[in-house]
Amino acid sequence: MLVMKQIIPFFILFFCMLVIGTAVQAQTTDVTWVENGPNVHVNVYPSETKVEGGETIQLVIEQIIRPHWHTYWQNPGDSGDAMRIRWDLPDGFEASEFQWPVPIKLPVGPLTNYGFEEHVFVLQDLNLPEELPEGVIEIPVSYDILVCKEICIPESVDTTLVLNDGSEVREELFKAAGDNLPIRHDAWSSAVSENDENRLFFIETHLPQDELSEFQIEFFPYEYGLVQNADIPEVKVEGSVISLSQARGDFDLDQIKDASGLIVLDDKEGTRSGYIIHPKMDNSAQSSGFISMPEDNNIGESDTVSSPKIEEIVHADITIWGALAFAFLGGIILNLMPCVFPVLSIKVLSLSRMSDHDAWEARSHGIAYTAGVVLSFLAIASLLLMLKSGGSEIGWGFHLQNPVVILLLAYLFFLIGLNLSGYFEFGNGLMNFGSKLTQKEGVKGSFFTGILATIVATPCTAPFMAAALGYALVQPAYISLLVFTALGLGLAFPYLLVSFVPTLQKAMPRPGNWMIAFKEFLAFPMFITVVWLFWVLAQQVGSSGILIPALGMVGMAFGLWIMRKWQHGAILNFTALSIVAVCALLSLFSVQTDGAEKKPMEMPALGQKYSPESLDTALKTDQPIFVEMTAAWCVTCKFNNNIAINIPQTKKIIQDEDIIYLIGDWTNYDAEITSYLESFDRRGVPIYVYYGRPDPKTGVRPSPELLPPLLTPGIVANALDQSKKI
Amino acid sequence: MMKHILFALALLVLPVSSAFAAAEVGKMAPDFEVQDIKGETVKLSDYKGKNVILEWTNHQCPYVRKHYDSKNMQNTQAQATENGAIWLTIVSSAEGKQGHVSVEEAANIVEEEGAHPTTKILDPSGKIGQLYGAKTTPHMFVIDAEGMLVYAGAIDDNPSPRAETIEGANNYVLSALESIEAGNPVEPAQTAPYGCSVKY
Repeated sequence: MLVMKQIIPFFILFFCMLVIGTAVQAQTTDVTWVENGPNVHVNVYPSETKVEGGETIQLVIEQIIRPHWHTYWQNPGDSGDAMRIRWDLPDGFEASEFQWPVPIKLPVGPLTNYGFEEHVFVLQDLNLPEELPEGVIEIPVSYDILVCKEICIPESVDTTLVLNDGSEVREELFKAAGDNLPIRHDAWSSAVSENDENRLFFIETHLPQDELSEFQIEFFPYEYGLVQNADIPEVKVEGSVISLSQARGDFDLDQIKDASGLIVLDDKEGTRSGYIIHPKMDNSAQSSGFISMPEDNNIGESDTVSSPKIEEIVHADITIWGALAFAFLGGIILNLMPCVFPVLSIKVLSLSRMSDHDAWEARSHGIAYTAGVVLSFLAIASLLLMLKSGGSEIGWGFHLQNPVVILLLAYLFFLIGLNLSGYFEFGNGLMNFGSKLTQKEGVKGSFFTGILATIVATPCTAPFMAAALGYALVQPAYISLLVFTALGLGLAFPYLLVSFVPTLQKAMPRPGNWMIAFKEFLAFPMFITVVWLFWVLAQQVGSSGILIPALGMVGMAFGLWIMRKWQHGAILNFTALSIVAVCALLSLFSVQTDGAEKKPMEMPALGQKYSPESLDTALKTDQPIFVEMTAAWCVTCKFNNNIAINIPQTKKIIQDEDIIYLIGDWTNYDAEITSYLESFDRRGVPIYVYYGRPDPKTGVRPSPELLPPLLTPGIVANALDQSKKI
Repeated sequence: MMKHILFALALLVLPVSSAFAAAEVGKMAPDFEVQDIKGETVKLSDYKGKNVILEWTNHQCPYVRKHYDSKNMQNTQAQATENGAIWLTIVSSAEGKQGHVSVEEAANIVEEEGAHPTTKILDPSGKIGQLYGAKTTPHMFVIDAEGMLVYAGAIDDNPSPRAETIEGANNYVLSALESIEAGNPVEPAQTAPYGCSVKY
């Protein structure tokens, strides 16, 4: 399990590296600057030059600014003005707000502005009407831009947006624009608080990026008056947690509707990454939206110096492309899971033997394997969708809620493990996964290996991919299928890559005796998986319930032993196979019948079992409520529980604040929990929900807050800390 | 624990940052004493009993031009002073920076523009500007008869540099004076100022 836990941060880091990308440096442009001439040039280009009615296209507005001059961001800071647009859009055209790139700070004496120098790209969406006129479309547009150095000059640039003129799309500008956009990601939280007397403003935020200490970190608020723009923030970094304090701005906090803005990381080498944060300001409870300090508060002695709020972040902003990229990456990472890695590594090693042969042979293996994987994933997805449309309350991970499936998987892994360790080898190839994998085999074999890889991957997809696939399942069917396809492609990708690139095949270590040892070693991840599956099974059927399945496993090993000793006797062979089959069937049967008396989950002392009734009862009290939905097979859930919930700090808060802590166990199928998950647009665990105390005047509770699927002690403490107030 | 450390850290920053902008809306306006362009001493606290408007200006700033060329600022000044308010126009441009003027030039500009301030103050050291946290030209402050700062921010609600946007814009200074007259709280009391930066 240790390996699995390490995968989580790795996953996040990997995703992060992908999305951050690199910021575009100021590019050389062939603009000549005339004295007293304009200080900014503006061009506008569409993302598609051939458009049809009803489409939404993107526009990139390119500002080329005279050296040492600057223009302004959406919040210009202490002075200045952001770019404005003037145009008479023809009927049916609709333009979005500007999407601004990450700005820089521009100090001017004691003041500081937020803006841009040299070369800037601003994006804007444009909805086209259903009916478009024939031929080239030209829309005149004016941009009013304040451009300043020491002095400021408002300039107006008249240009024309041209569509359908057959010109090339300026891909490089869109790429540059995209690279410089701030990043929106859902699993981050941020909180904001203020000390009234001292006029300070804090933000704590969690970014999924390591070595934050390397960066210069700045905050850019969207609204004027929140912070003193010229004040250099004090930043403290601890792991992935940034705590930033900056002098409060001119405005009273009750005037500020939104403390949102960008946290910008500057690597001091020209790469700047902006992250959008939305610290929540709850105006329902208090007029200021901020929690004020008790007047007699002594700094350093009180636990209530500040009480930041946690932000609820849901996946509302995941685009299809984001989900697909996520799924593809997830698929690649599945290859490293203990369940898939052995099968894959042997499969890949087999390619090194082919390198001397026809390159086409290797490629056809790659394609067959990919087809096997993708088709299996599509089959699983279709099954899920069918069950879903048939009205079944299912979510991702549903297959692990069935003890029969768990046991079948355990036996499959056990057999693969025995096979890898060399305990048995079938001559007739009946269940011959491992041994043949190392040998040259038909293309058909690769296809089936793909199916096998998918099957062995399933127990790992549930714990790690629950959130992502849960998202896929609440989308329309075609998106679900696309996400599953991307996942399959990701799983198949490493093998496919090696099969298509002969250089990689040559780079493989030469086959030899070490491969046998390696293969035998790979049996252990398989056995670890078996242990884990049995542990899950024990949660489902109880400790006595796993007696027969475990004996069945011994029986299978016994049958295989007979077969190994007397390989050539047909009768004995048959007997052996029968023993294996009977043991397996008996165990499966026992599990199914025993399944009726499911073992109740062990409840922590502070927790109560979730049920719609228990939640209803809790909601009628005036105590805060914390709901946790978990499952034995959900590794993310266990991980969160161990590091953030089942710890003294959190337990103390729960006890001190009289929080009702409800735990729902989704290890086995449970329609009530499934519908609870759905009410938050989820189809998988974990899910953590906090219900604040009801307002003493109105008796109405604030809307429940959804915590991110990956918890830290800080996130939980921040969320629960709210209960101290009101 | 983290929070405590942070808090202590933040306290260390405080003295530095509070040097700028001692003025706070809803509190007494900080007093100052200075010679105006006529050589007379102007002391804010001497105006107790009257509403006082502070206007930061830089005659070369396009946003100031927007309001002077359109006569919007002069009209606002006239309306305010006719009702008994004191109007102080302040230039905080440092020597060598845009908008820096001599006493004579400053007087000429008042003349040429047909402006109606009670008087005009040169603040090349930026002391008064920084005392009030003046950020832009124009940046407007309204102080009531008790000496309380009741409004700080923009002249109106249309931050465009284009003069044609003045018509229909809500003049925050005039509406603040009306609210004071009527005995109502000033709303809004704070807005984001817009314009060129003050050339400290």
